[in-house]
Amino acid sequence: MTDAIERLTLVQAADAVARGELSSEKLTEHALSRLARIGPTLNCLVAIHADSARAAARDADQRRARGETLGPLHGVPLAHKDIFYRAGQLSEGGSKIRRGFVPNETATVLSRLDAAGALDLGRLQMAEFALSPTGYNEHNGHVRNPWSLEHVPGGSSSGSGAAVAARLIYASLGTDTGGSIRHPSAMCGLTGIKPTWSRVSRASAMALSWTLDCVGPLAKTARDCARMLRIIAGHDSRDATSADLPVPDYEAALTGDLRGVRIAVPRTYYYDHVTPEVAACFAESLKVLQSRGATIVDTKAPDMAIINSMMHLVMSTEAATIHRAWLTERPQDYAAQVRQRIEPGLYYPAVRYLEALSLRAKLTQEWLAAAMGDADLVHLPTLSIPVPSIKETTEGEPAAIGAAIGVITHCTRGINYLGLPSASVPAGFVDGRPVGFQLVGRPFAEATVLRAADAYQRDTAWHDAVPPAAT
Amino acid sequence: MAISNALLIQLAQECHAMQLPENRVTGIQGLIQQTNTVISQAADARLSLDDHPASYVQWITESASRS
Repeated sequence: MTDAIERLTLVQAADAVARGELSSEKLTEHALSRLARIGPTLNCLVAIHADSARAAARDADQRRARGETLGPLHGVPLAHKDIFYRAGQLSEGGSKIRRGFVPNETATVLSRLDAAGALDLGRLQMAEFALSPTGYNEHNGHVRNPWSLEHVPGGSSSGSGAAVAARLIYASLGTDTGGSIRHPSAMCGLTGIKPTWSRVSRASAMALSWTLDCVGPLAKTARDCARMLRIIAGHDSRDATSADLPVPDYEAALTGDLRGVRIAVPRTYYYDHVTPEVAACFAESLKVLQSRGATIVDTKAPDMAIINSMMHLVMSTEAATIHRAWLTERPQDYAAQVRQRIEPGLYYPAVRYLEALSLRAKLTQEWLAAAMGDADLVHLPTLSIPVPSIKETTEGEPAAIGAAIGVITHCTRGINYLGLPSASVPAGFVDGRPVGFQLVGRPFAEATVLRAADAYQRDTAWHDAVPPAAT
Repeated sequence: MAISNALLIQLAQECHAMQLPENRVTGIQGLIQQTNTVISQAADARLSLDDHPASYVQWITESASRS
């Protein structure tokens, strides 16, 4: 089983440990070895805690031998975006400004994974302050896409995307304010879900925008995401914005049967930049969903200029509030590309900000009425174009780079203002680089999103493909 | 009328005690102006006295209960 260890899904690895077919020590040694061998090539690691990971793995095996299984991820090695605090350990948010920051509290999502038995091997790279859809980080260097080292991995959860895709770990937590889970999922060939806003606690995760930030998993499959999400979701007294609603058994919802499920495809706006090769992948994905019983219906998007303006204003205003003191005292310690995305927020009147918040319910209902209609899900591109190169997104005039970044977030950023759940699912390859589509659900309909994604993955193998950097 | 660089620099200084050089504000006037216009027009067309920043949380919670 050694050769196949890294090819297991999260659920397969966890279940193998639970059945005693694999030890946590074996899984962890394998992961540590791969992290050491492949991680530096991808520049996806910040810090790996090998000694404490080995000790935790030994403890997990001893507990299992005594019949003390902790939970559904007992003994499984994970690692996460360097945005989640763990008491007494560095947490730097991909930035120069927070270098050396040691929090005295632990993020609720990490505590919940600990309680479920998961091992935390260390911290993964990310875009500076979670502010780049490509993963751009001037301070720590470019994270490389495991499918092509000259191409971006997507961001801001760039290290999470690269590490899971390269089969270094089984899953990783990321955050998503404008697409930061879905971009690296799509660009690295993974499945990732941004849950409904408020579904998952953000306590002790570094904030970018309180109204838009969501925490969610990046993994190989929808089933992996379902297992992770059930563990991390639910009300948290440490996060007053977290929803006090029951958490479904997402894995139990994965029936493979999509009969009775209606999937809407808005052809306006979302297909503005889609290239023919990428469009062919989406068309094929719709056929697969249809063959599983789903009904496909055409719809239209409403005026997305309004929704995108709302998202921009809310994100930049809240980010400017968080960053104002640092922008004043240490402007030189931000990359220009990052600072430029925050600074407009210094100028919006408070009235405009409150209008944007006050209209959120109405605009979400308008979007659902137009784009989803009477359907259950909306099928959208995640990224409209083939995965861009590092060069294309870093060199040239700032306006051109800004425009390229705008194309990358074209189909994702509005969803954060709407607060809806959205998964990115692998849909094929163009020029050897992955393509992904989104499935967007109604508020708190993560089970339906994951059910459709899982049904699709029963008839496709894109999520099983292993990138060249993983070998 | 376009918002000038000088005004943006003055606003940063007066409102945020921040010294922004001209090259930091060049290029964002258009974005600020466009965003202001789009949102104020959307508010004029849609916002009622019953809408407030917590309406969204109320609506998604009710929406979850209904489904």
